[in-house]
Amino acid sequence: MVSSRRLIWAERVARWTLAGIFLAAAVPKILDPAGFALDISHYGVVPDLLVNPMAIALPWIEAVAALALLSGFAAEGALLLINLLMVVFLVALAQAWVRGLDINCGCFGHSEARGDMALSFLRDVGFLTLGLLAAWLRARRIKPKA
Amino acid sequence: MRRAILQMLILTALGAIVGFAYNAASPKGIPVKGGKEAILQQQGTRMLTTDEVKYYSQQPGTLMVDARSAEEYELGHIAGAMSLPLDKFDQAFMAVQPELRKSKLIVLYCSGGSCGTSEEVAKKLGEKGFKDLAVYADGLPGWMRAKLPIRSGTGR
Repeated sequence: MVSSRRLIWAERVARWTLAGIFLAAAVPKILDPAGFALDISHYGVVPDLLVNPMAIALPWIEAVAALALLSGFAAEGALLLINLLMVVFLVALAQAWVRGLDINCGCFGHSEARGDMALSFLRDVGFLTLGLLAAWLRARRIKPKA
Repeated sequence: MRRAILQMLILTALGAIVGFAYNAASPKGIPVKGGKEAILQQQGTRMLTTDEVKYYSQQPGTLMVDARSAEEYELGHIAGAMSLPLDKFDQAFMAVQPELRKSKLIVLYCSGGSCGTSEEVAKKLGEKGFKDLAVYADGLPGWMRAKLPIRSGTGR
């Protein structure tokens, strides 16, 4: 196979873009854990016992994964983690959309405004596509010859 | 693939450890246990059941507040509740302010467990200095299930 700088850069751009998205999502939640916990509870799918631990841990898991994507250290694991998280988020959004819940998505932190679940779902489908593309590019990436 | 799974588990554990350590040290940290009720208590708001709301609504020192939109209020609301919709909070607050007393218990409700508007309005009232705030967790659906009195239209 022929090595390709283009492939390497495509993988880097996809990975760094995902890192930026996940950092932008994590920081507001880290700064307002109470708001994020309430957002989680409104979905009605997480047992009350797990709402607060989830609000405490999840934003930092996103931030650590984003930093791994940015640095390239443990990037395969970070891509797997982020893609699995996106699947979980999509399931949560889909059930909220189907149930017609008038709630804030909480995806990028707590907000008073009620979000459009359909738009949030479609946006996350885009993020998952990017995550899968980054994982595929990383798997195919061949280091250029010295 | 095995390496990626191992990396993922390490990143997840690292994120969770940092998260709990940060939460313990942060002034904005939240209680680990107790769920939504503990969060609301931290913000100075109680959560009430249908029976408790029924009792308090019959007491003279209680104000019932509907946090849903004005249109939803018109379609049906708890008898005696005033409208203070989140989406027009500032405007509506000016209208109901003369009736709101800081010494009274203010019970807020919306459309039940999955709506957050009553919590948002409680937070806003808390910022305005109202201390005795409560959220009716089951909201209007819980009230209707208990076959308690409701009204429609703009009047209470």
